[in-house]
Amino acid sequence: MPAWYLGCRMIEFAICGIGAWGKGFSCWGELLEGLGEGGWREDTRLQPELIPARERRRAPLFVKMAVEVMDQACSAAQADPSSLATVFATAMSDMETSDYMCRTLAESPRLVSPTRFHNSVNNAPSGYWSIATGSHAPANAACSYQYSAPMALLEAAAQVAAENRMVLLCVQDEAAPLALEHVSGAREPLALALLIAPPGACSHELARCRLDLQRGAADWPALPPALNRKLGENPSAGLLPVALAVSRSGPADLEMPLSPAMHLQLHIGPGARENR
Amino acid sequence: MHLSIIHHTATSAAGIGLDALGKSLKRRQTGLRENDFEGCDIDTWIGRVPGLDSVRLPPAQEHLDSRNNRLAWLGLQQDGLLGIVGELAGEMGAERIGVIMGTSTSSIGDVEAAYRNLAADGRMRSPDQKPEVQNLHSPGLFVAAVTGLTGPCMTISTACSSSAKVFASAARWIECGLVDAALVGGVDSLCLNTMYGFNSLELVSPEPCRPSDRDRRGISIGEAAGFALVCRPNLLPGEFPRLLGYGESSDAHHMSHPHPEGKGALDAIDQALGRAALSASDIGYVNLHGTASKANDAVENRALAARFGHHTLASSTKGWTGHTLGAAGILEAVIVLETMKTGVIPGTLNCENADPDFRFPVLQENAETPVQYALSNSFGFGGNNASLVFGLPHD
Repeated sequence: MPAWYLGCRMIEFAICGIGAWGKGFSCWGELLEGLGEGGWREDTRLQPELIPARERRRAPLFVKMAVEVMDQACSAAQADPSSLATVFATAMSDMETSDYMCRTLAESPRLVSPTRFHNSVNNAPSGYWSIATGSHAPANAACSYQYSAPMALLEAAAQVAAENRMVLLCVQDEAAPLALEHVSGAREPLALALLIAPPGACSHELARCRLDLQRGAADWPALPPALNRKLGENPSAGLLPVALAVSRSGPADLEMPLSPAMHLQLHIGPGARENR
Repeated sequence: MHLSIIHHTATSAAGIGLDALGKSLKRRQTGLRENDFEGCDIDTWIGRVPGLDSVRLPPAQEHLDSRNNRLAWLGLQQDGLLGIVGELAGEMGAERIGVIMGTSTSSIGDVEAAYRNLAADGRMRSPDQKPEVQNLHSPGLFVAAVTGLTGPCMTISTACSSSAKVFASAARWIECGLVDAALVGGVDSLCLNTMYGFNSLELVSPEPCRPSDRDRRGISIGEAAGFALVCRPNLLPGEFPRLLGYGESSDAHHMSHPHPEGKGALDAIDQALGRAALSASDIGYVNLHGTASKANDAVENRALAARFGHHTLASSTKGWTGHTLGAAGILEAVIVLETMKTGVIPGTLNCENADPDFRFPVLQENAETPVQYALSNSFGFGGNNASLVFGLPHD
């Protein structure tokens, strides 16, 4: 190994809040409840209070579910949303809006709606979030196709470590429209948010994590069978094992693939006692 | 965290590779032409890279073919970049080099074509189905595959700030030791989504774009690919230009209209200067976002007037290249790096009568003067802003 090889140092961070929304659960607690015998409800309303009613009508599902889960994760940790850097990640972006755009362009391109065009930018959720919360903080929107969820955790953790600030992470993917089913097998939408922070920076630590980058392939961590049947094909479900391990509050070690050549190693332990 | 910039290149309507770009800038030859993009009847001018239709991807990556990936491939082959990337990967290991690409529309042109040919049941026809191309990460997947780099690979898509933000993520990854170097870049290609989309917002100019001109009528959409190979300072022997600071912010104002006082723009500029430990008066040249839309240029000028003195030269180069959207950040970073190397500062092509309401005078004609420190602005829809400060090593 060359002398200048500096190697990876572990990144330590705390997870301080969780938000979730999908078909049949309107928050993280309801997702957990659905794992029991009763299962999940048939459907769930989505009305993120942060977005003014007029804007809400024009906002696509992709935007609304992101804003909703981020608000939940912030509230859980009593964090000020306007101060938080954000990382949004998705494997497939806003497929409903892409489908509309490409369909309209194929049929009558001059009829493209300007509102739906500006909603089609991949950072639309971050735009709505910053407007709704008045946040001038940095916002990133990233994609690594099927590896988007673990990559987003890596990017968010790097922001926490390099800039010593709290970061609100949101991963989300929706059900694929007919014409894009070959690109994503997701049959139901999922948005999941984690508020992560430098150790000790937040008074609501649910867990402390150590993240390391490792060479070689890894399998995805298993999901509970019912959750796997429901959301296993949704790329954003890649982050569910992290949230589940945090909720179980025992120590856990997870591996998550970043590519066929690389994976993340994540140790999850209890949050600092004085901060709980 | 500073980054050494070991190598860089760009391909746009203003030239394929650095030599052609330098000549266009020096001779003030625009790359814009009347819109001749297939399937688009909008009366406008575009920054089209010639010859993309005949570019062929290497056999091992043929399944990743799209206009966007062809442009990425054409760009990667310029200025000996691939050789230098390969050499570095051989020395430090391909897994120690990350890949971070910026794009706004990825390979969506390929999806558009498939949608014109959907089967009767509404599904995409089998021959048109290309999952690894028809997703947002297509540029990252292609660049990693064709370079053999196996470090973490991410595609950033924050509209027109995308490929400026790649530098910020690379700086953090390197600071955390996740990688020792990164190939960063951006690629965006002409497609109907952006052409008809910007047209629906009445932001597309019927003539070549005229940044900062009092009679500017909107943007000219362009396409580009650009790359920079960056690493931890002092990792390699030799003197390299550096990324000294980055700034990222949100406007919190409107999805498609900038903050009227340029609040987000100033936040980004101030952060970048702060990380570089420089003051505004140290900056010799600012490459403006300068899209030639009414609102962008006015707001950006207001922000500049609030920070910079008149000895700082500022210009927009979009009169040469058009607005290359998700590739604008890297393209203009490369222009800044070339400006610092040659001392030739591009003026603002097509700006004939500077907007009389502008308090900060933009550079109209080219100038020649050494530049030690320079700043590049990139502002995107959703109010997503990024500024970068570059510097030459001290003598």
